[in-house]
Amino acid sequence: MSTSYLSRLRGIGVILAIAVVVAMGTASAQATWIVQSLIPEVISIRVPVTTIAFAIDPATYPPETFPARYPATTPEGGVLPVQVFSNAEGVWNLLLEIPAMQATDGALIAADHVLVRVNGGIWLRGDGTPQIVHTQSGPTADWEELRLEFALELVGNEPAGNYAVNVLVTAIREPGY
Amino acid sequence: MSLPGATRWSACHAAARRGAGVVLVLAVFAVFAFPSVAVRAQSPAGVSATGTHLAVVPLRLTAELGPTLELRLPTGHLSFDLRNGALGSTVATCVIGSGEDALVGGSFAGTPMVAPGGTSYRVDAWPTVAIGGGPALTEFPAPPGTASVVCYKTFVLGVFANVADWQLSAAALPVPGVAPIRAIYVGAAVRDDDPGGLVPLAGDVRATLVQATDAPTSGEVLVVVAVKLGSEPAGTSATLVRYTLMAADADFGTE
Repeated sequence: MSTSYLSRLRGIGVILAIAVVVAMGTASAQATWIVQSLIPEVISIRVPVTTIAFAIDPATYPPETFPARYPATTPEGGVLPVQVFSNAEGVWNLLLEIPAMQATDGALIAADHVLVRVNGGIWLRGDGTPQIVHTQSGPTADWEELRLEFALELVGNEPAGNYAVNVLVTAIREPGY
Repeated sequence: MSLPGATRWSACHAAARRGAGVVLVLAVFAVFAFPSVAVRAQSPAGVSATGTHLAVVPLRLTAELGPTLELRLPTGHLSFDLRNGALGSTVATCVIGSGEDALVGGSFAGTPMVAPGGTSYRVDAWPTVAIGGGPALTEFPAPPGTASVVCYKTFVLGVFANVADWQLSAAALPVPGVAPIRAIYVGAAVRDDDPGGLVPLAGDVRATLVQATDAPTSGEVLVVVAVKLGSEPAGTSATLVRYTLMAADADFGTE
């Protein structure tokens, strides 16, 4: 083997070595990714049933004295579990809007004869407008369950009939400042 | 080394894609979701709603009030006890009448009304009545020559009707094995109304005491019962008085 041939081999070896070094350097380089988790602010509400019924039992109607209160017969026990989920800071409220109940013949049971209380608290009377029945601050850790208890107060002058009304249950978060 | 790296890259890429998706969804909500809410049905009968600041679910509130009539008698026994000559307030108020009944004020609901033996009652202070038409009887037997003695008792009857067009009536029925009261009368007064006369309960007469064509009631009716003593023998005589509250609609009533 001639000296020039060996020199060329050494040159090729050096180039390969440099290439390997460069290649090793490339293999150890790192890329950085920004991971963002953007969870929307939401407030949710859910109820297991949508009908609150007062099927007045003839065994207890008319009562000994008026006015008399009758718990809702549906859901069982007269209690509606309302679940609220809120994942944002701030105060949120639960509102109920209870208009007067109306029979098919036009007879009315005034809104203030429908009573509701939350988690065994004081009884509140409906008044036909959105009323705050519960207030809470901050996000809920999970679904927050509120027990809404309904009662119907009869004063004795209600004509027989089938009464109905649509009630709105609203969970609303107050705007932040 | 390359495989885990590739996996991590894929995971990051997927996360980035999800992030982009979330950002897109947020943008959509920011434009369209506030203040409206999305309402979803839940199984089996529930419902849910979600919004950025507001969520609303509807409820249906229903109440069923069946047609109901009810009478409440404070007692099942009304006694005119004339023994021992004691005619205090605990027994009955008796007056000496003229003998014959007098028609008063025509008729009510087709039933002629009378003043038994010429006696009558008026409501002084609800539910107290004052008896007129003759001197009060202070002892029994009555003085010789007395044409008739009429004794009155009253009670408050609880009346409940959640239907319009109801009617309260009374009828006399015999008590098996007991001599009947020969002359018994019944009347009624509603608070703040002028009372009329009384209706003699004889034979198959069903006396209409109150007739209402308007709204339901949850009130009281003052019932006045009178007996006219004349030729009754000593001993006990009795009559069953049946009060009936009935709505005009078909066979619907209570006794």
